[in-house]
Order: sequence, then structure tokens, then C-alpha cells
Amino acid sequence: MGQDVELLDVSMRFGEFYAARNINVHIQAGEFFSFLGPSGCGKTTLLRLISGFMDPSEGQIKIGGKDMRGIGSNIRPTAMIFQNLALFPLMTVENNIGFGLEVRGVPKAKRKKKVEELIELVDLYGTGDRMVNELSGGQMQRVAIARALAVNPAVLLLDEPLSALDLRLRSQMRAELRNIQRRTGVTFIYITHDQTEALTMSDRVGVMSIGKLEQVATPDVIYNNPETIFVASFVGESNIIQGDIISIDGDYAVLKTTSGSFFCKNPQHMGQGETATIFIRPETVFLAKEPNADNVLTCRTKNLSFEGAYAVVTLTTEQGQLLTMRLNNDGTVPRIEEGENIKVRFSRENAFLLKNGGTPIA
Amino acid sequence: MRDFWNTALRDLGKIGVAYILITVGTWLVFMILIPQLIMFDYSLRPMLPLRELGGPKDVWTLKNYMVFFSNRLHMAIFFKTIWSSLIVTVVALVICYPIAFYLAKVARGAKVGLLMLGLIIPYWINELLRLFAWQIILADLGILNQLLIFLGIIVDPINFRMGNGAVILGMTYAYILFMVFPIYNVMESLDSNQLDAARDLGSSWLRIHYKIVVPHAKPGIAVGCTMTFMLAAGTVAAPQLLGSPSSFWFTQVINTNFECANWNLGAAYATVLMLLCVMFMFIMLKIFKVGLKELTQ
Repeated sequence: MGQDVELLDVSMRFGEFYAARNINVHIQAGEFFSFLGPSGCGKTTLLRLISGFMDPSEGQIKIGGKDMRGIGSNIRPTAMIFQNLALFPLMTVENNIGFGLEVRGVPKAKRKKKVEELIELVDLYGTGDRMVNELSGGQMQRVAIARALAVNPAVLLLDEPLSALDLRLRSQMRAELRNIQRRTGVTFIYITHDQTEALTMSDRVGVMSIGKLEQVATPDVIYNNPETIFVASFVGESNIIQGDIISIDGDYAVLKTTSGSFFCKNPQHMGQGETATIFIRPETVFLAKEPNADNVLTCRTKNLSFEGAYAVVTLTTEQGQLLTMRLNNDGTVPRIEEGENIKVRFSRENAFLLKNGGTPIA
Repeated sequence: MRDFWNTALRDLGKIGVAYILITVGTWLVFMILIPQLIMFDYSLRPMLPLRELGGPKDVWTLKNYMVFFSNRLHMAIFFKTIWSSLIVTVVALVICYPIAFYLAKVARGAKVGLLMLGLIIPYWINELLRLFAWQIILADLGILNQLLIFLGIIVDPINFRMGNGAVILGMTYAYILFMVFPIYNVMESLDSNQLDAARDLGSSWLRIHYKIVVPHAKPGIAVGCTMTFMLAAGTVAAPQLLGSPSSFWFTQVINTNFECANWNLGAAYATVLMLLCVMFMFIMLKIFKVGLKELTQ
């Protein structure tokens, strides 16, 4: 069964450079947790710290409530699946999967039985005596999963293991990983730069910018209520409009921008006079039916790309503010031509204000 | 084969192909094939006075080889040379394996360069001079004896050059690079993640080497051992400079034959040594289950 993993003020410094700084997160036992962030944000460092390949410069890592400092990776209750899988090329599939058991001195008959169970779990029938480099990419992936699960880890660490697979295989493996995680109850800590991967598989996601954990929440909260500009811009697409807050009304505020004034949610309760940024998802921008309602913009269509289920419309206001609208192809959308002037609106519920600062990724 | 020629012609052009064929061919024929054949021919002929050369007595015979196989002393020296060369090879392997591993998988950045330099610098000096240096270190009133006496560990100087010790030491030192580099080369191509993965699965360092590193490094180890053994079995300088009468080397027997103007006997002995080295190479390939093709990589 899984164990919980606790990172307490963990920092990792290489010389002057902080790969991770003051990371605090408590990953529950049996949870599927993802660290999502751009490459170089320090997420692999975090994984290597948890697996015990190195100890943090500062802070504490606890697994199952036990401080892990000084405990080597060969003793920790973790197992890692490497980005390049790191299968042993000179061994058969069986010997790869059984390696951890052999190391632990499990007798041959028992080992064989366990390996067979795992081969069944990851759906690798009939490949046991093949060499690993004779397998397809998807099969190698399964061997790596089975090899890591063989040692009955309490925590499985996955370092972008699906990145080498093609799109179809990747989505299939996603579902299977999730399935295996549910069946085994092992805590999964998954590292990825692919937001779809993180959002579809995880119970919770921790979004990382350079060395910093920006927000930890369930996938829907990460998407619908990002707490920082970084999270809002890294996860999903957003329209970004900057301006100054001119009035406050409870949980809402009015932001004055060059393209007009807009009502938005103010989750961070910023005060009047502060500069801030509005984030609006493209799928929450609609064609305006009542031209005099709040939050209406007059725009010219710059570009229209029809994708089947929906169309993406790129718009620009007279003042040069860019806006993207995603229209569902539900049969009610009138025909829009490129270069046409249209009015669009967004609801104040779907527009939220965030403090400027941090490192936005656009 | 046709593909091979077509690719070669396309990549190198006619002149390029001709250039390589001529240079490699010349080298192969004149530097290797002809001298070896001449030596082999010599080994099969009896030693004759000048005027009888080409005469009725000048026929091919195995007499020279019979001399070797009937000479107990020479046979003993031959086997002792094999044995000592094996010791040199094993000692060099034991010393060089960790160095190669450290260079390939542990050291980072400037450390690698410095260590490499440290390994290579001695080779800027002629082999004979390096051996003379050892002679000076190991001499009766040499640096080592003086140091040991100064430290009070010994009272009377030790004769380090009795027996095979000094020769084996000198040779191990002389051939370290030939062992380090082949092993280093293959170890560098080993994915470090495999070491981490094995560690992560609970393996001890000893087992990681035994199960992951050594199997991967086998071709390099085979090459290193073959080269070191051949160099050790084939050198004449080290036993000459560092040896004592009791550490006579087979190459010195060959040398004496040539010096005594019995080139035919010398050639036969040299052929025996060459066959030994070729055999050793194939035994190494067999032990490490490495193909000739992998060996050249």
C-alpha cells in the first residue's frame, strides 16, 4: 500500500543556483500527484530528492512519517520510472522485472511467480524471455512499470515516462497508469510538462515555475481558479488584459483598460488603484447578443480556424488588444467572416483578476 | 559487398578509394604480411653458413621448433613469461577498472581532464626512460630503500629486483593506459540512469558492478586485457632493465638467438610467441563472449 510523502521547506542548491526553493507539499498515501512545469523548473530534482539519489540542501523529506535524510535510494520505499526507462539492455524482460526481487534475495520460485503476476498486470504476455530491446516502445514502458512495481514500493516516482511514446499510445498508457495506480493503491508522484497528462491522470497537481511551487490543487481548481499569473498562463490558454482597478464591489472589481472597463472576480481581494491582469479562457468568450450588457468588446476578426467540434476565432479591438474566442460548433453559431466586426462578451464569473508579477508564460 | 563498394565510391570518390586502398594495402603488405612471412620462412629453415644457402641442405624443416620443444629451460621461461604476463594483466585490470569507472561515471568536468592528463603525461617520456626511473626507485640504494630505511621500517636495503616483482611492477605501470582507455570508452557509453535504476531497486554497489557495469564493459575489458597481455609478453625492455637473471623473459631468449646470429631459431621462437598472443586474444574473446566485430568498436 501507499505511504504519504511530505516535503517540508525543501530547497536544493547547486552552487549559487536553486533548483528548488522552499517547497512545501504533503502528498497523501495512495494519491496520484503530479508536478507540472516547464522543462528546467526543478521537478526532476524534486523526484531525485524523494527517491534518495541526493539529499536536499535544506528542509526535510518524510515518507510514511519517517525522515529520509541519509537514507539511500536502495533502502527507501520508493521506486522510480526513468524518463528513458533505463531498462537493462543485456537482460531479458523477466530478468529486468525480477531484478529488484533478486537483489532482495527472493527465492527463485517465488520470484518467478511474482514476475508472472506483474507480466499479467501490465499485459505483457509471452514476452518474458525476450531481450528488452526487441520490444516496442509501449512494451518497454510496461516492462519499466512492472520492474518498478516488483519491489512493492509504497511510492512510485515517474519522470515523464510517456514522453517518448506516440500520441495514441500515450493516451492509452495514461488510462492504464491511472488504472494500475487505483488497483495497487501505491502513491504515484508523476512529473510532466504536459498539462493534459497532469490534468487527466492526477488527483492533485502541483504547478511549478522555476524552482518554485506555485499552486497545489485538484485539476479543476488549477484550471478554473489559478492563483498566480504563472499558473493561469501555463495551464490552458488565456486571454490576458491589463489595467488598473477603479472600484471594488464585494468579491468583484472593475478594471479599467485601454479597451474599456470590465467587471471581474477579485479572488485575491486586491484594492482600488492596484494594477492587475484579467484572465479569461477562450471557451468563456461568447458572441454578444445584447450589445449594451457588461463586459462587451467590439472587435474585428483577424483569423478564423475551423477545427470541427469548435472554431478558434482570433480577434482584435480597436486599441490593439488581442482576444481569442473558442466557439462550440453547436449549430447556433452564425457564420463569421475574417475581417468582419463583431461584438463579444464574457461573464464576470469567468474573468478573474490576478496580481501582476511572477513569471508569466504566454 | 557490392553495396560496400558503392557506398565507398559515393562517399569518397574514385581518388579517395584508390588512396585508401593503396596506403592501407601498402602498409598491410609491406609492414605486416611480408615481414611475418619472411620470419615464418626463416623459422622453417636450418641455420647454414653463407655458402650453403640455397644449397641442398636449405630445405624447410621443423627442426627449429623441435629445438624449442626439447629445451626444458626455454620451455620453462616460455611458461613463466605467460604466467607473469597474466599477472601483469590481472594487476593492471584490478588497478584500471576503478580508474576507468571513476573517469567515466563519477568524475565531472575539470576533474576528468586533470586525471586524464595525469594518466597521459608519463607517456610523453620514452618507455626506456620510464623504466630507468623505476630502476632508480627500486635500486639497492634507491629512493624507495632509502625512504624505508629513513622511516625505520627496514634496516638493510631490500633487493627489489630479485624475482619477477620489479618487472611486473614496471610493466603494469607502463601499460596502464592500454587497460584504462578501452574500459573507459565502453563505460562512458553506459547510461548512468541504469546505475541509478539498479540502485533504486535496492542493489548494492558490488552487485551493480557485477550485474550491470561489467557485462556492459566486457568488450573494453577484453580489449584491455588482450593489449596488456600482448605488450607484456612481447616486451624486451622491461625485463632487460628491471629484471634479474631469475626473471628471464621469453623475449630475451628470442633476442639472444638473434644476437648469436641464429636468426632461424629466433624466428621460430618469435613465431611461437606470436601464436601464443593470437591464442590469448581468442581465449579472451571466448571468456568475455565478445565477437571480433564488437572488439573493434
